[in-house]
Amino acid sequence: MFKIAKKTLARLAVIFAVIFCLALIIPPARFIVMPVLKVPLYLFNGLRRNAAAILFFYRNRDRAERLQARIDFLLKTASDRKELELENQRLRRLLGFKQKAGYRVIPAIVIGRDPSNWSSTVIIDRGSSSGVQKGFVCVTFLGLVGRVIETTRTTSTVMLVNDPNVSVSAVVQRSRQEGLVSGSLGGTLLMKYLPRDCDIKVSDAVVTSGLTRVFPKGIPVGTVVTVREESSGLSRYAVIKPAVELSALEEVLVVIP
Amino acid sequence: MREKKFLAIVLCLALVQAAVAPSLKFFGVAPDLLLICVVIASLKMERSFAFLAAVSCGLLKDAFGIAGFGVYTFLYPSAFLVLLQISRTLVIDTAILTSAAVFCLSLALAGAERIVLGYLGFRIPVFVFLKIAVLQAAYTAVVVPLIGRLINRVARV
Repeated sequence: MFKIAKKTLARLAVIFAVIFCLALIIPPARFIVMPVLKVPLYLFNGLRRNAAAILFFYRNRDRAERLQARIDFLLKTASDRKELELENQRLRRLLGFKQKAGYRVIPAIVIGRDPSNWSSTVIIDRGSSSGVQKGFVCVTFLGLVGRVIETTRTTSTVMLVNDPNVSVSAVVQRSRQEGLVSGSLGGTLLMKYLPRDCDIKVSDAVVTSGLTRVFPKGIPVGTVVTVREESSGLSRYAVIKPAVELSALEEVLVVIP
Repeated sequence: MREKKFLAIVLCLALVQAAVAPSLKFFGVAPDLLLICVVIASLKMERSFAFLAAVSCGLLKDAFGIAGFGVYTFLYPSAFLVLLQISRTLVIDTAILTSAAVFCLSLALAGAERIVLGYLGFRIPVFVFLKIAVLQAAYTAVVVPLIGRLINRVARV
């Protein structure tokens, strides 16, 4: 169908060689490009947020009213919990339990997302100059977000928990049933390798187990939506709704171990 | 002048792709705006400039993405060369044909991306890949007239 002359082939070879050389310099180039593009990314992200705020004004107002009512309720609950926590601390001290270490966090703003559809990553506005390192875990107040996979001086790339390349060792909060949670690039997560007789129900909360030491223990991952059987019939898996709305992520907290 | 305007549009669309397009996702898939730029440049601009535009698009997409090797810097110019060969035997001069070309190229690129990402260690399950590849190709093809009109209005291509 296509007749290509030798001269054209030689030209094509030169072109591909040039592209190949360019491709080889991409990783270091990114460390130069990202800090430069950080400001325009901020600008575009800000424009998007403002446009969404205007477009969805009535929905947002309705949501704000509902959330305010929920905040009032949660403040009351938090006050009760504080009492229990203090009591718990006093009793732990009496029994000689080791105190659980707290985590330091760095707040960061999401300024961009992976332009391809083949991975679920976001770019945040904190990099190695702020103390962020590869492998650090990202959370929000609602639950687990993902892990830092790359850092430049002023930005970092976070792979979200719904990416198939992230696996989290997790337990069902109620029954302590263990499983491995991984993503499928969609709006849900899968908790795999559950035994056939596992104690897991719809609406059960799933939290990180802390077994792999990558993710701290007890961070909410999501809630069980359905439990299904694997096609092999040997084990079951649960579909989990993430605790954090990953598609609408705007701020994250980077956990410093 | 129109070349400079075209490159400015490419930069803006790259920023839109990274900051805004994720909000316009349909079934979890966003259109590939930079591929549209590559196709329009290949069909309507000088070859040398179209090649430069394809490399620029690839560099920008690689800058925001996770594929460290420079996948798109390699794939977009390859798409330009394929389109160049096709346009020698088939005249692509209508919006529908351009959309069809974008659809086919997007599918082909998705296959290539899966191979390269797999080689780099990023796993994508088969069913997830098929769903995303088809939806992305269709969504990108649908957006072609809109982006085409924008480029035509700004850069007079």
